[in-house]
Amino acid sequence: MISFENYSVDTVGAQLKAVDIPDEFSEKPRILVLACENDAYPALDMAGMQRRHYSAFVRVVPVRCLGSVNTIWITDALNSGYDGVMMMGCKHGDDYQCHFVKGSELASYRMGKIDDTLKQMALETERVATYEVAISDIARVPQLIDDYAKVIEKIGMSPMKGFA
Amino acid sequence: MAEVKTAAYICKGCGIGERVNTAQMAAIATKEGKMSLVREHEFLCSAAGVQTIRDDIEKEAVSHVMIAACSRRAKTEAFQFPTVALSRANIREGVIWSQPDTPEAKETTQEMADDYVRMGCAEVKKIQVPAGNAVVGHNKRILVVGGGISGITAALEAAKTGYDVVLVEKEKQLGGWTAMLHKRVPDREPFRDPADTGIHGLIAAVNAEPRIKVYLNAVIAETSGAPGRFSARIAIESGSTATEEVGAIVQASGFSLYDANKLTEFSYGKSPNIVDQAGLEKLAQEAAARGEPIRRPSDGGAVKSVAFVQCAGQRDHTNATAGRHLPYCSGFCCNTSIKQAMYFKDANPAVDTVVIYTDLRTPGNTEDFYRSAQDKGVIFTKGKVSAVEPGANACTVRFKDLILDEETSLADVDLVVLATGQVPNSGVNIDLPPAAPDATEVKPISILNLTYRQGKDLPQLKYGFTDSHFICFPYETRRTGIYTAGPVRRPMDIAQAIEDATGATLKAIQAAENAELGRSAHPRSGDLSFPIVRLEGCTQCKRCTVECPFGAIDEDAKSYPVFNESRCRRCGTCMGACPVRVIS
Repeated sequence: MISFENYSVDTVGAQLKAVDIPDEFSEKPRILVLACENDAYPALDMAGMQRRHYSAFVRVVPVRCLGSVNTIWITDALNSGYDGVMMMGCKHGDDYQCHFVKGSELASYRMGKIDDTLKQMALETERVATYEVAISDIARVPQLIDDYAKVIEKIGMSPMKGFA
Repeated sequence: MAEVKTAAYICKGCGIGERVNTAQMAAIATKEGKMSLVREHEFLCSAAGVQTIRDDIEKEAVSHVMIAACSRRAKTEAFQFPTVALSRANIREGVIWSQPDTPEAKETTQEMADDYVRMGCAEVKKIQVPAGNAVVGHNKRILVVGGGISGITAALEAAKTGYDVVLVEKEKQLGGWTAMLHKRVPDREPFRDPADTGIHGLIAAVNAEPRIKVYLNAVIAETSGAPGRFSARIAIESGSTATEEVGAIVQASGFSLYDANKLTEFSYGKSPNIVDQAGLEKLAQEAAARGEPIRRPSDGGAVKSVAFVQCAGQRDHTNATAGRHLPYCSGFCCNTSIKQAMYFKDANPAVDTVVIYTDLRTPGNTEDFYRSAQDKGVIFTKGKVSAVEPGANACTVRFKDLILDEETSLADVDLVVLATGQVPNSGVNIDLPPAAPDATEVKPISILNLTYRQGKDLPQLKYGFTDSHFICFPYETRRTGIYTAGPVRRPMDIAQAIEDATGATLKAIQAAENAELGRSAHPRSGDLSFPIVRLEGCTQCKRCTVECPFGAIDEDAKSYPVFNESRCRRCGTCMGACPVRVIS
């Protein structure tokens, strides 16, 4: 296994597991946002600076690059009772904006396979979503969050709460 | 390792104290976060607030600090404690500024703040202060591959900054394409006339510079290592080899002109009076050496009429994917044709010069150069050339006039100049599968011959140009410590290549300096952490070695990953790739 002294499967895993998850009947879903520290996280900060409001149900964890997201974080989050996971990384493709060139592309490739995992867990595929976010998406990011919160509201709370 | 002592600091400033219950957050840090020391502060980033933390680090031996205040992106200078593990809970931007200040929102806002405190406490306990990379190289010489205008500029700029340079050129002399020009497009006011290239002065400066060691007739046979400790084996035409240790590399391998033989409709090769732009420069240099005007190649007769065919084999979208020829604009050729038309007009204003173009592109102040050509009587015709018909001494150029929207032609043209484009000398495309043994195409020759697991040359992006982060970090390649400059990176002219080489050289110097300190190159500039691999449990799946965007990981004989820390950008893509499930 691979880790950095100040960034590892553990440092992120411990954060997402520290969150207090209200029970299924609370009407308070919890959405984990794994946000790339290069563009998505600054965009979220700037949204705050401009007092653009977004759902209070999100808990944001900055990551070095979406390419560093290990799928174990996703399964850990779902097993812990999160109702959804949003991943925000940079644009990929020929006119990529990923600061590590291939990270967001690899993440999107890996997450393309997460649907099977979700089905095995008897969860809706909407519970994990990946987004391309630019640093200038200051108005768009709160909208993405609120739209996703509505999706979660529609599909309902995760049945996985209270087991972990 | 020293004892772990944790401390949490909860700031009440910037309105945090009014919006959320910090006493409750402090209680959570103590009870759930299990922080051994918890303090609230009215204004944590003030001198007094920061001093509180410093005092605790010194007197209370605090080793792990959790700060619940503003975003980790804010107040980074105030909250800089390099000797301790640090985590930041984003209560300002992430909670009170992103949530409405209403009675209804109070409960969920508080829940957010409480959770971020829990998360910060959980994270900091898992963090260690990076010890730094022990395997650093100390070499700061710069290897410049290619001795054209880009490479010469890179070498001279590095030398002027105080760094030693190894300059490797495959031809028997320096100068590249620039040395093959009669004159260059001007780069300064008044942008009126073609200018001296100055290349001989630059070559003399390279030869006179004691910091620059030049290899001519030489190519790179092998490049191994990492920033700060690259080793390049140089193969010289005579058969001898030399090995040079360097800290960083600037690849200025330039371009080749698109092969005009592929432009059958323009009859290149069927008449000596049809030349490409390089062919015209050769005629101009020869004429200048003779001290007389350019003559018609077929019979040495006087040139009375010249036609310039712009975008010859460029900006071609004749089929759905990329066209038969180059799909892109090479950017330099409009100005080159204007300059070449002036070769004739300046010698004899009676010579007819017609530039047939679809869009005339003269970037920057060379707009004035275009106007100067109009003043000198150069004719610009908006049209698309369909055919060049060679005759014994006179050619006919058929084209569609795009203003009048009609087919027309120019007859009795003594000389036709085709503005073909730049094809980058990028070496081997490492993303293509190895060519079949019976492939008839000429195989590209590797420029760097890297010993990296991921291939011999730099990855390419579009149209064979080497990949570079166009938006954020233009000189970067996907091989740390190796920077591209000039037309190998994107099409460009002399003025742009000089600027490009200067920038790339500065990046190369930074890379060598950072490598010695064990620090990452950007975007995580200065980061001392690097991937640590535990091989117990490694299944030799190779995902990390294949997926590393920077070719930082090689493989040993048993397919275990071998990390080259100095090549690493600390993105963690290897960490995301690793399928080994740890206990969680």
